Amino acid sequence: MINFQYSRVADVADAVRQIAADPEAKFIAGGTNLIDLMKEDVERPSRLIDISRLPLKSVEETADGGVRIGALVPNSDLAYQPLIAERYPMLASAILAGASAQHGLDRRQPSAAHALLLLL
Amino acid sequence: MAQTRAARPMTEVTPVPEKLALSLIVNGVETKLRVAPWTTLLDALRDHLALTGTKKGCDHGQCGACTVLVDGRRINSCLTLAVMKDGAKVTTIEGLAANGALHPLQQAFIDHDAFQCGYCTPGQICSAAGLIAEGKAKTPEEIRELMSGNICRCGAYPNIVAAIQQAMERS
Repeated sequence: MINFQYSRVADVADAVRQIAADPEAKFIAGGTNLIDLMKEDVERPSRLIDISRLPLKSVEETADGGVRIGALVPNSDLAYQPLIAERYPMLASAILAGASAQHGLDRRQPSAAHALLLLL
Repeated sequence: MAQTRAARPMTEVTPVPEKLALSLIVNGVETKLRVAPWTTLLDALRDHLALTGTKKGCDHGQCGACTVLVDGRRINSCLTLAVMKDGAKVTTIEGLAANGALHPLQQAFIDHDAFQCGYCTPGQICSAAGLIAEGKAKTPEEIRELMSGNICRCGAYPNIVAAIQQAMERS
């Protein structure tokens, strides 16, 4: 795999600062997809900014009847969330069908936000 | 992507990043190591800690041979950077047996002849341990679906499912 710098961020503001400072840097959350692309020499970031420890892992109902999904919620966690499983069963099924159990924020390492981007 | 490539031609000389210190609790033992940022958890286990039970199959997250448990959850260690797991508890196939007794899954794989060449087996067993802890699979069909990240080229699938069922009933 290519060489790159690595840094972990303390908070969202830090993440924004770091990505703004280096146009060739990329965020890494689960990494399942990005690391694979780096191994294939498709992606060649200068730096990986690790956002996996940021507090973006909640699933909350919103006042207008929707659901707000944290960007770092693991796929499997999201699919099995009662709120999602009951109200959005197709989404839950799609997430579970979309990757293996150990894949990303795995169905566990890939982040659900990433998976949703792939689904939409 | 094209832009990224243009911005970083192969000939460009970039300083090699320093190795980073990290601490992992591997099979119950606190372990400190220094690795390059691009060292995967799989390579850290095999090449730095000499834990070669975890296997490198495809190295692209498609075969599941590299499956280990991180903080109790199964992951593909080939697509995980070691530095991202600083402080985590990692359980590999070497860490499943306790007090000289095989883990129920290890015994079940023997009882059901659930392997031929054995290369996928450490990943299958770690994945199955994760699956049992998740508690989502009950039927053979559900076991097959939730074990779909682990490929067995010898085709031992019926025996693998039977072994997992046995271990599940006894856990």
